[in-house]
Amino acid sequence: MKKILCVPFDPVHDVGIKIIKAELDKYGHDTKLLSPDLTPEAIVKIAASDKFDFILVSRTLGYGVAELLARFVDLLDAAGVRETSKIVIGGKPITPELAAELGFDKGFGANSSMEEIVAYIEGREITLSGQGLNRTKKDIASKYDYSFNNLEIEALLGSIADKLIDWAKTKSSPGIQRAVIREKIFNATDQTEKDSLLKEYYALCDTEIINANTRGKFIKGVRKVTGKELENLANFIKHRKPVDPVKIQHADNHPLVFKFLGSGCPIMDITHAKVCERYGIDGFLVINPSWEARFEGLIEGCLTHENDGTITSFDNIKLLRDSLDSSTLLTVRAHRGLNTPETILLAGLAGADLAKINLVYGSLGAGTDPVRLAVDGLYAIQLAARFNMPFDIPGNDELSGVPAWKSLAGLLINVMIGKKLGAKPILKPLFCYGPHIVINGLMKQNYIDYNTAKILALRSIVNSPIWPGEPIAFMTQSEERVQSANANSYHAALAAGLGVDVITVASTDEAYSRGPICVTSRIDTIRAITDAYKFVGNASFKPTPRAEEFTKMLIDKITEVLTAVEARDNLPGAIYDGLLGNQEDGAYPGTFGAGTVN
Amino acid sequence: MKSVGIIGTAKNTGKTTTLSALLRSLKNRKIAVTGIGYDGEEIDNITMLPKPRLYFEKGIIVATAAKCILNAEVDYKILKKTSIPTPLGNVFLVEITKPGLVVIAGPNRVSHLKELMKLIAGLGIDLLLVDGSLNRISPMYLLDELIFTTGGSKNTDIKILTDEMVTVEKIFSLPSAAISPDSVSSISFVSGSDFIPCDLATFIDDDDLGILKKCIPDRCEKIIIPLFFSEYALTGLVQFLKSRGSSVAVNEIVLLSPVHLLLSSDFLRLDSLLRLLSNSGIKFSYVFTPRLKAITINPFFPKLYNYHFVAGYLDKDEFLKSMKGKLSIDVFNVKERFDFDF
Repeated sequence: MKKILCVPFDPVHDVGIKIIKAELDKYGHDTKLLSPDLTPEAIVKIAASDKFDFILVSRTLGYGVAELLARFVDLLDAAGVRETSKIVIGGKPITPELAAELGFDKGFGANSSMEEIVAYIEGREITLSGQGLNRTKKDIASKYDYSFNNLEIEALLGSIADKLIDWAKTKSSPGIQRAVIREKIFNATDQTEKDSLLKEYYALCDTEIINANTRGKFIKGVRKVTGKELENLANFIKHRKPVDPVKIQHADNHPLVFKFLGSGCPIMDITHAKVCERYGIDGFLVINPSWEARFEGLIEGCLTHENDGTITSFDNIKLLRDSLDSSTLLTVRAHRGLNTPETILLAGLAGADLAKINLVYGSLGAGTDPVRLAVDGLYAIQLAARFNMPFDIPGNDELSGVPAWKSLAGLLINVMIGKKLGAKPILKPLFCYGPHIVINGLMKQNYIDYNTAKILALRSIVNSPIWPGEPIAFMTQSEERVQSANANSYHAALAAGLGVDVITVASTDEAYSRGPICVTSRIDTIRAITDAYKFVGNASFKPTPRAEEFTKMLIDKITEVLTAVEARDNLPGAIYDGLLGNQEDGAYPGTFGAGTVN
Repeated sequence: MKSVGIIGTAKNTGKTTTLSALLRSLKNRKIAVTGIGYDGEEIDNITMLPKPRLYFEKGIIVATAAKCILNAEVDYKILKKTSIPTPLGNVFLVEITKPGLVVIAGPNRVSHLKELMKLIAGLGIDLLLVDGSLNRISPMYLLDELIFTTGGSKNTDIKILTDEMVTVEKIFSLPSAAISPDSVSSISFVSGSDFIPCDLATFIDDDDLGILKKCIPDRCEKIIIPLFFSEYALTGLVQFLKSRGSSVAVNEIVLLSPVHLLLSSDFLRLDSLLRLLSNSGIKFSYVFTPRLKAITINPFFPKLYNYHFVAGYLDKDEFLKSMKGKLSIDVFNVKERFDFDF
């Protein structure tokens, strides 16, 4: 039991010290709370008259108050009180630096937990400053068995997936061949063998990629990261570990929170990521440059790019992975363009935790030829299964104007393919205000019913992890940062109430940054969501009866779409025919890699 | 080893700039630097205004908290990891091997500064510089010389600032008691060669004063107060002794140090006490007598404007003229180049 003097060094704001006193009493400590109107000299006399183990001082801070507190510390020091009592300052703006400046032994601020304060008083070690995030890596897919509750849809999906797998089994592509060669290069121990394999690899690449890899002639805006830059990064990470761990989730079942990376520069990505880790972010999605989708082959090395999108290379992914806390999840976008299998391979070899693949959206909204992506995608999903990487399936075709039921049908097709190939798929329906929704007034009344209906519909069909994205609140943010943070927090609270597994969030300047987004606006949304989770706790929103109508409508329409797709010979044919999104919706089958499947 | 401390009368009075000037003028000397708070940071912890940084040349010994040195923009060699705690980790003694910026956060109480001074003295240092923090002064009585910094941040009235420093100069001009610091630890009455102790932990209020008055023996020349006291209680004691006139032969009150006298109240009230003392036949003396080396002034002050702080300035020429006109010790403007001579 410790003897503690609680000093409200403030005539008004003494609620904090009262709460702490009550908590310390619960732990059986002997506390004495002074009235808030005593002079510093009177407090010193009380402090000197009895031997207290701790003197806890609570005070709000303004200019001039620092001098009052410093003098109070001096009085305690001059009275010899500091030789027997530790003096501690608490208040919203208090930081360890400010506590040191004022002369206290310890300071607790707005982010200090009661557990931390009690541990300090009791002299117990608590995993805090400099100890990292103190959390374990989460397995998003572990509690799901991918069993279907809707047998009609299960049968349709089973047939679609079987036909696709059968259709593709005799087919290959330059993308698959490169992945096979790349893996051999990775495992080769002999340089001659490596050189010979590289020749085979380059034979399957576009000129721009060959020039970059063999002659150092990079695509405009690309260069190698220098050794000095890497050294500086290593020093930055070594000296700036996330301190005073912050947790976004208020309840254990609250969704994990992911953010995008993809500034072009892996060092800037990592710098942002380390700041976000400090604020409790759970994972990141790495977004590659759009030009990368058009080329056969990938550039090697640790590379920076002065425009949007971080280059997909083993070194870049590994640098990111190694720089993140071991508990932070990393997913790599693979479904755009001509390098899907190799991207999954590099992600797996570099230690990424997940990969992003959607055979339908990748073909409709992301530019890849449906036949090429179907063939590449199947191989990529098998690779993901081999590396035990769950794959997340973004439903961003909704942003092109595709109705939600078509997008959700596409997600479900990917889930069934993943299930058949032994992988762990994750559904990513959009929480957005997409064009189809706007045109049809589906969210005119509120943003809850339709988003809720998507989750309820998917959940009634299959037992799979659900990860609304991508990001949540898409098309509901404005240029105003407060509004953007609010929009994210409301959507996050809805997601928490619906019990989904993960959400992806943007920064408050994501849509309006006119260049690289700034790290402070990343923190805006993380902090907003942390508060939203605290606000909603284990409660949830009550949708109106329209949510039930929307759910039923979505299930019926998904069934219709899947019935139509199943009637086709294979999935690419259905995509070409517009069954999962057509020109009227605003979706066009991609052309990258057309005619390359053999 | 000589030790010099920099004391501020408030935040932003120019302690960091004064320390930088000292570091500049002490090149080629074997020096060590520590501080009793947190200084050298880029942005002020309270006003969020930019602050001057602390730049250390190769060879300087720095005693600062672990977190500060680990994040410092210098190369260094660790000489000792002490067990002296701060909110930013224990104090490390390091030698700078490649110059650069360091934030200083050292021992923040008397006993810890004493412990650190012993360690530093063992390193063959010529001069130890101790940076103050805010208006903190309590550990500084241990040092040989003190530099006071004052400015617009303490008060925007130049006359008041000048009067305060006049009082400070007066307080530091009082004599040494020629008493060994280890010889007394409680309030004592000296009668001839006898020391009669009085059981008081503090000397702060009317209760303490009442007890002390009752304890004063009939024959007593000196009263030693080697602990914390308030100006209120001390004034009460002087008034009491004065009212007793020649019946009480007390002619000296020994205080621990001028720093303790400064701590007991604000400067202007202390001036009243000194005036009361001047015609009482009683003198104050000190067990510890650090010398007042100089005063530096800072015309800058953080000015509240539209709910945030902006830079404000006093008239620098008027400020310097006022101080130099009333003080006999050196006065420097921190905003202009100046050098110290040791």
